[in-house]
Amino acid sequence: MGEVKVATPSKLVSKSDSEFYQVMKHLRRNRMAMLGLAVLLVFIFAAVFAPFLTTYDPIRTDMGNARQSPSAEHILGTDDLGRDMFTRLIYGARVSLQIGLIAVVIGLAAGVPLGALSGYYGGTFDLIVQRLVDIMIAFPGILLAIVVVTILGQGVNNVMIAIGIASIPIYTRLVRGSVLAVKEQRFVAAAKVLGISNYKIILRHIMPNCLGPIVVQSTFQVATAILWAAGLSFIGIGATRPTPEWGLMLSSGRQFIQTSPHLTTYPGLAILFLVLGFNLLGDGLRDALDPKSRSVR
Amino acid sequence: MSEYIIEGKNLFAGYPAGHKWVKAVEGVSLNVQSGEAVALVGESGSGKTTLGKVLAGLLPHRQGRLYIGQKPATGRPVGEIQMVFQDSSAALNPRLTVGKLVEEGLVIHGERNKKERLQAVMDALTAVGLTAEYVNRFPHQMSGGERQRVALARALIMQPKMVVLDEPVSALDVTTGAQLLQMIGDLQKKYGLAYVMISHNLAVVRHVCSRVMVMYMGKIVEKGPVADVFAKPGHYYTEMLLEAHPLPDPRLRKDFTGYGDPPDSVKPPSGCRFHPRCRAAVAKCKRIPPGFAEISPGHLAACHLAG
Repeated sequence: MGEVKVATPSKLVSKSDSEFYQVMKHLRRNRMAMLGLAVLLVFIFAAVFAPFLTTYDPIRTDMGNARQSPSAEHILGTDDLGRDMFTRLIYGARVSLQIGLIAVVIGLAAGVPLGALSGYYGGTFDLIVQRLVDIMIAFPGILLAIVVVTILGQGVNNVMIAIGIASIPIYTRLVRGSVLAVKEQRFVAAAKVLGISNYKIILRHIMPNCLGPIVVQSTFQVATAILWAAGLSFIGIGATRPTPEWGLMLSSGRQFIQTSPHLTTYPGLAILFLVLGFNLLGDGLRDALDPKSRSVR
Repeated sequence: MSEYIIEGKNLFAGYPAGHKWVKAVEGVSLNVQSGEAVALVGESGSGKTTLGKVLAGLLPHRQGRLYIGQKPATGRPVGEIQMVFQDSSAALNPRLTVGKLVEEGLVIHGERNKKERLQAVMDALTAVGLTAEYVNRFPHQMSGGERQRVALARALIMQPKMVVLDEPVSALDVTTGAQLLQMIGDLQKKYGLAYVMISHNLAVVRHVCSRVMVMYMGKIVEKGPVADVFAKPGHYYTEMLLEAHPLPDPRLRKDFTGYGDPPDSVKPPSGCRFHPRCRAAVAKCKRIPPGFAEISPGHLAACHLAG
């Protein structure tokens, strides 16, 4: 038999060939996604640098300045207890982002392993997990969160836990579906031939190929968590006074909606824009992570 | 006579189909010696790939005995038997670089330090005709032939005694396929590898393998040296496969009208499974499953009319 021919290199690897680069390139072209990202960055900046953006205390009351309209001194006016609305809004961004992100982390921490194990191993374990998921999904998410908050009690921490628990079935079902598809791929069988353990196959070969849907779902789920948290606070079972939380601010301001509409307008707009920002980014990520929607390279 | 690398006795394997069980491999016995290349041929759905998966430890056998070396095979393999799949683009994790893919087996089994592992990766890539610059490349940045070489390197780095090649060139163009087959032959000589080559391309089998086993509906219907089986087939199914294979010279071509479609594998026919399609079937073919008849030394066919 003749000499082994050395294959000619098709092209040198470059940064532009990496999937991350391709996703980012596609995302940058999506104007709505970029708008969503810009909105989010504004809120994140405000939340991180809140103490430097305002000199007012978000909690200390000043009854002499109650329900003032927007002015040079208080650009968004003051609330029913004389606290600066702008200050409370940017400190409220901290609370909302914290609730959204931590609730999603809780949902991910429980839902992803459950879904991965359920999808990979199947059998009785899968059957039990999926029936539990069916029961949880039968309840509307917000209702499930209300039940959990009622059991755990009020407060921001309990709201995060409640919303996190309510989002577990969403992740479990999503990850299970992704794992079921990926585990049938040939590269999983190829990994098994090498003698790789199931645990390492799940971590190294299956989960990285399920990241796309998880990232997209998490973006939407943060938005949902923020919305649910505001809803829980609005009906009086979420954050407790004097926490600067947007749902609570809406609830406090609704009795003055005729005379001081700014008390409800600004927190309402803050919720709207933050949720919209996450949703626009989520839509953009979904398109960017779908290879079929990407232009041919 | 060299020792058997793998030996299977009366192997049964299959897949669940609803509440029923499809026997994809039924009562198969085989052995592969060191440095030998054995072909498994048959139509789609004949059970070749399933048998390959059983040999590679990817699918448990439900009955029978499987020995690797002298030891009974239990659970997952640990390197002695490797498998290279048909579609290399699907068999390589798209999120790992070539370096990571080839090195993985060594990492998992905790072998060597990082520097030695990298050297082993380079050696494996060189053995399959690829250069060092491929280490940082992703599967989608390579051609089909290059990907198949990476899959081979990945198998070789484990220093296996045998490699199961599942249609290794069927997804490649003729030139690339020929180069790869040449390399497969060279690697066999260099490392003393044994191969089980799953194929429906009889020209490929002729080129690489010394022994052939013909499968039909989960059973071996004929086995023997490639030259003997192809020159004088002892089973009408083998004859059908040879007739169906296109010949480059139009003067040597026969008209192939086909022998009908294979029966339902959930409810296989009684007696000889090929009898509904066989042009020479007699009454007992429908009732009695045939045993092996010797046509020439080492050449056996499971046909009532053979011998």
